[in-house]
Parts: sequence; C-alpha cells; structure tokens
Amino acid sequence: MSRPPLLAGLLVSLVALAEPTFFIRTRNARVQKAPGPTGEVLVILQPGATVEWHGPDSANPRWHKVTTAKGDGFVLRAALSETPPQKELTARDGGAPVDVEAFVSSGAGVRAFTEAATSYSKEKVYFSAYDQLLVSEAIARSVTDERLAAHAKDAGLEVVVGGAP
Amino acid sequence: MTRLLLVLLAVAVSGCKTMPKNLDDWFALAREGKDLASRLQELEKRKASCDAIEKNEVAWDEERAIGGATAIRWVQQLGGLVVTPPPGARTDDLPSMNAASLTDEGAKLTTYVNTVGKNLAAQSSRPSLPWTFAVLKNEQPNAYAAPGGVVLVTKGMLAQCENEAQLAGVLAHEIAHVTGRHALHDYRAKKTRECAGSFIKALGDETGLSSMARARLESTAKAFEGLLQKSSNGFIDFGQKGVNVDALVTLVDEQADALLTNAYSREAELEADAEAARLIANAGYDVGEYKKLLAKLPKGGVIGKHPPADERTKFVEDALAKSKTLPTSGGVKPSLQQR
Repeated sequence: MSRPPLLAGLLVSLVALAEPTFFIRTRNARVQKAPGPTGEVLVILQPGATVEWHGPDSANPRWHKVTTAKGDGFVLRAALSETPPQKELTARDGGAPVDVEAFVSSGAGVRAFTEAATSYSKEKVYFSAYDQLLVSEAIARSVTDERLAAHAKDAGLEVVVGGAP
Repeated sequence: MTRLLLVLLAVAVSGCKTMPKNLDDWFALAREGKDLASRLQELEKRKASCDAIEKNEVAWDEERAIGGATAIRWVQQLGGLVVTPPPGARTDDLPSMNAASLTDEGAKLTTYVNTVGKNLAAQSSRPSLPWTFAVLKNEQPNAYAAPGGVVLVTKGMLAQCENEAQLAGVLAHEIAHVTGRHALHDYRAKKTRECAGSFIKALGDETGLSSMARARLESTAKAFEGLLQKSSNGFIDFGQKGVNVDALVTLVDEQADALLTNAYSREAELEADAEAARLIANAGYDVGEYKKLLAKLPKGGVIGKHPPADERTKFVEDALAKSKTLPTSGGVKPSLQQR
C-alpha cells in the first residue's frame, strides 16, 4: 500500500534535483571554458539553444555555469532566458514557423521596409515621412553589435551583445 | 463563419419557387440548382480562407508590410522625424546609404536611441527582427510601436527621461508591445471582419442589406479580393510585387489612427510593463528608474489611457519577483542631457 506514495516521493525528489533548463536568447552567445572577459571559447550558441543551468560562478557572479552539448562552460547571465525566443512564421512557407537561426540566414529580417511600404507611401503621398524612416533604418543598421558592446561597457551595463573580447 | 453558411442556406431555401409544373420548369430548376452548387462551392472556398485568417497568427512578411505602412502614417501625422535625407538623395538610394556620413544633431540622437534600443531588442524574445528606432519631432511625451519592430519615440518623451535607464524603460515597453504582438491581435480581428464582409457581399442582394451597406461591402470586398487570391492558408504575402495597396490602406489606416489616440488593453499595457522590467533588469539598468518615470509621466493624452502609475509600478515589482533571473542594479548613466 505504501508503494504509490513512495514512487510519488521519489519522482518529486528527482524533479527537485534536476537542474533547470535555460534558453540562449542573444545572438552569438559565447560559452567559455572559464568565466571572465579572456576565457577560451567552448562553443558559440544561437538564440533558442538550451543549456542546463548550475548557477552563478562564486568569484564572478555575472558568469553562470552551464552544461552544453559540447561540455560544461560559463556564459553571461544576461544571455540566458527562462523562455525560448519566438519562432517566426513566413507566408512564403505557408506559415511554417522557423527558428531564429533559419530566419536570420534566410535574410527575411534584414529590412524593416519593403515594396509594400513603398507602395503605401506612394498611394498616400507620404514621401517625406517615408524618406525619414528610411534614413532612420539606415542609421539603425549602422549600429552594429560591436557598437552595442562598446556602449554597454561605457555605460556600466552587461555586455551581452557582440561582447567578444 | 458557420453562421454565415447557415445564412447562405436560408437564402437558398427561401429563394425556391413553387413546385415545377412542366418540363420547362424542371429545366429551369435544374439550371438554378447547378448555379447554386457552383456558387456554394465558391463560397465554401471563401469561408475556408476566412477561417484560416481567423485561426492563424499573422506571418512575418505580412507583419512587416502593415508595420511599415503604420509607421509611415504615424510619422506623417505626428509631424515628422528629427532626421532628414542628404540633399539630393533619391528614395531608392536611401536604404543603401552610408549612415556614417550623417553628422547632424538629429542623426546623432537617432544613433544614440538605436544603440540603447537595439541592445535591449537583441535580448528580447524576437532578437532578429530588423529593429529600427526613430525620434519624432513631436513635443508631446509619447512612444509608439509598429508591428515588425519599428519604434518611434517623441522628443517630448526624451525630455521626460532623466537618464538612460528611464529611456531604456520606455523603449523596452514598446519592444514588449512588438514581441507580445499586441497590435497584431487587433489587426487579425479586423482582417477577419473584412474577410467576412467580402463573404457577405458574395451572398448578393438576397441578404436584404441597405444600398449603403451594400456599397460599403462592395468596396471592402473589392479591396480584399486581391488579398484572398494571394493568401495561402490565411497568410498574406504583401512582399510580392504588385501588392493590392487598396487592401493595405483598408487594413492599416483605421487601426493606425486608433493606436495614435488610444492605449492597448489594460492587460496588454501591464504585460508590456512586466516584460520591459525584465528586459532592462537583465541588461543591467536600474528598474527603479523606470518606476520613477512611470510615476512622473503626465496624466493626460494617450498616457492617461494607460493603467494608473501605481498599478503599473506594482505590476513591475511583481513581475521581477516572479522572474528566475535576478536583476542587477546600476547602469543608470550616462545622463541623456549629455547627449
């Protein structure tokens, strides 16, 4: 009669012992063999990859110990998320969801404004507004990951994006 | 849509004449039956298209198309951006222009806002969208998020921000509207209504609609017809050349105007606050600065249609407490006034 509660208790214990799984949420997340800005790279992960999380490094709590398919390493805490990045649906594929990596490599996310926006601006005669947005888009594209990293460092923030030493 | 099919059947039944008395009557009835069968088939196809639109999420290509059009309309209506194209530049050349050649104040401010915004967006649940942040000349404190990742912030809102952490809070809130697809929920509902409108139109005069209602349906159906032809499984590829611009205007203008004067639903606004708090905390900003900004924003206008500041602040605190990742402090600098 005691077997079901025993099994249930065992299951609860196993669940409690299991390390939580986190998702990589930033592009080109560096997992290093050792924490810190000069650590050797173990693997570069893309958004959506899962890692087993073991908690922050005691000496450098910004770096968290994780287990990846390539082994154990350390990743910046800010590169981790408890939820996966969203998949994108593309009409061209009949609405099939594609993961972030496939979305990026397809080039679908390069431009914010397309022929539809051009047609709309012509139809409404909103030329000036459209030109200004195209300039802003060009400026946005000029802000590279390296620039984001330099700014983050300068502002005392986590260098999460483009933070390759 | 099932209701619409029932309406159609009722129309078909009520359209039956008296029992045939001779061979001519039988032939006439057979012809009507054939017409009706082919019409039913056509209507079934339309119904399937509308059902797919109602059921499926909006695809990226479509989101980008309506988001781009929405942003253009907002910039036009709100008085323009702080940047201007180089003298003599043609529209076709702007996408490939070298932004480094722009050195005016508007370009510098836009570069800064993009630096703060893109750093946050890269850590969001949609890190690979072509995120674009732009500054409106408008002096009313506000910010807007168009589907697809175009975020607009007014000079008036920048003036309210005392430091980068507060600006990060504003931008993160707008990023969260995009990642939460809040505008797309309303858009999809509108698209379904328009599709149903074209369906009703296809039923013809028997529906007993007034001439005004029929005229409205006529124009809606006309605009929507091209879209249905280009849609597959409810997904519309606006990226194809020769897009039906009438349909784009029909689908975008009304909703874009509504979003200029109204906040999203209370749930969507609080969800955006919670996600904003998580984003800025993970990036290393002090979330307390965002709460300070919420408390001091003016109570009128669109901001006044958001949930009260104390409710938003409480929601932010609860969201952070629930998050498994611990927030860090610091990262308030640099001051916006130094920019």
